[in-house]
Amino acid sequence: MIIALALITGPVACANDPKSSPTADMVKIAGGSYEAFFETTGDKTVRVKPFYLDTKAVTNAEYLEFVKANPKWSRSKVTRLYTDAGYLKHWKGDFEIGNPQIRNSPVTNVSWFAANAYSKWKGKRLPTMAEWEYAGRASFANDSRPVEEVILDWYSKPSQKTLPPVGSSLKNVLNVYDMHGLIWEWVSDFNGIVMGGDSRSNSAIQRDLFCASGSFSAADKEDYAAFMRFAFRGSLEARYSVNNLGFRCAMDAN
Amino acid sequence: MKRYFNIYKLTILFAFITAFTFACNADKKAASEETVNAVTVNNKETAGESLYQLEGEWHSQNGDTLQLAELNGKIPVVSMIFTRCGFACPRIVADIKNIEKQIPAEKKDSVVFVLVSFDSERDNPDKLKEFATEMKLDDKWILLHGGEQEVRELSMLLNVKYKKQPDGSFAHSNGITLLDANGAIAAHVEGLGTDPEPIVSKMKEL
Repeated sequence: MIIALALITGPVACANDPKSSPTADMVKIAGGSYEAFFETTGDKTVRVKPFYLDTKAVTNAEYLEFVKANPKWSRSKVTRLYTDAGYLKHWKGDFEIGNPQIRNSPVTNVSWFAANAYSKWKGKRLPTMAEWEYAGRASFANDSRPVEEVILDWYSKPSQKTLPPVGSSLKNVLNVYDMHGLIWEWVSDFNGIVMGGDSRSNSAIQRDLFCASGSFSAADKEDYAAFMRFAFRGSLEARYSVNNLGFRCAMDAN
Repeated sequence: MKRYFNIYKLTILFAFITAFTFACNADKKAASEETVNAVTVNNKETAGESLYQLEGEWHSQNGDTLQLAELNGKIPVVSMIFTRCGFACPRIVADIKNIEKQIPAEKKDSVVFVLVSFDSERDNPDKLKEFATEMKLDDKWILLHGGEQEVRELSMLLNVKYKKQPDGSFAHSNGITLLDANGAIAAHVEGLGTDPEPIVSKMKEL
């Protein structure tokens, strides 16, 4: 179960090219604020500026275009500095996805560095953790169940061997698909959770996220789903590739 | 089945990362004992892991623009700080000064100390210069300012976790990383006031 927890998570952010404009597959998310799931110091209110977010995660077919244009990101050429040995291991070859059924499924087995490089290539960036969490809080468009309930229902099932296409799970009221129910997603600052086996013994500001003590300072004690996302993020390293961890891109709105 | 697969995979990952980050000494030592031409083999091995593959530009406390690759051939001791940091960062600097005292004589010309700021917004070269003066850092010390993107990428490679706080300060983990002449991670210590022995002993081998 701990391993299952460890395999879950979310978004990262990057700088974008000011000249690029949002693509048709993005929606504008109005700025706003929400109460931080986890914050030990000061103001728990997280403010998010308006931003654009991809409505769907990046697919295998889209990622293949990136690899073709940037062969240094192909499986046999990519540097071990940026990826582990599992990079794109579900593909047939360097420039070949193989299974035609997964062309429009979200690309997974990509490291944070790979997701970041793809985003830059598109003139976009990864969403920040705050942006991702903000967009992920929206209720579903055609499902009246509380978001947490749907998420926990998803967490309770193993990922399917063949991931379904993007857009196949729930859409939320922001017109964003699959925020919960398809894959975990990288965020630009996933390493902003300052805790973990290697850091709790020193300055570790957010050591309260550990174990039971975490629940005393969490904003919403019911939100077990958020605990799982944060736990997963805290367990990741930027070189990891995981078979149900992909990404979508974002962009500044001004 | 899936769960077993995940356990297997994570075990491999953790083993790899652990080896990469902490056990480099032992690994490479073992490797060098097996090879006659240890230095050459070692260089080939670490080139693919070089941090000098990072392409971003940085600005030093002297106003120079540089890429990390310009440190090629040096033996850098790297850490991340921000100048408004009241507690941890001065201690990190003190920890590195402690390492400075233990540099083997034959490495004195190669070793440099690199402090990279988390604070892209406020730690401009002037501010870094001020900090260097205040902390009595000589010209062996290179203080770097970079964009948010560059800083985040470097933090991923150095396994430093950080988060900007609403008041503009940074919550961060503390680590000191030794790079080899290729720019690959040779040793790493975590925490404040940690015994720098892994870094000092590795430095002798480089």
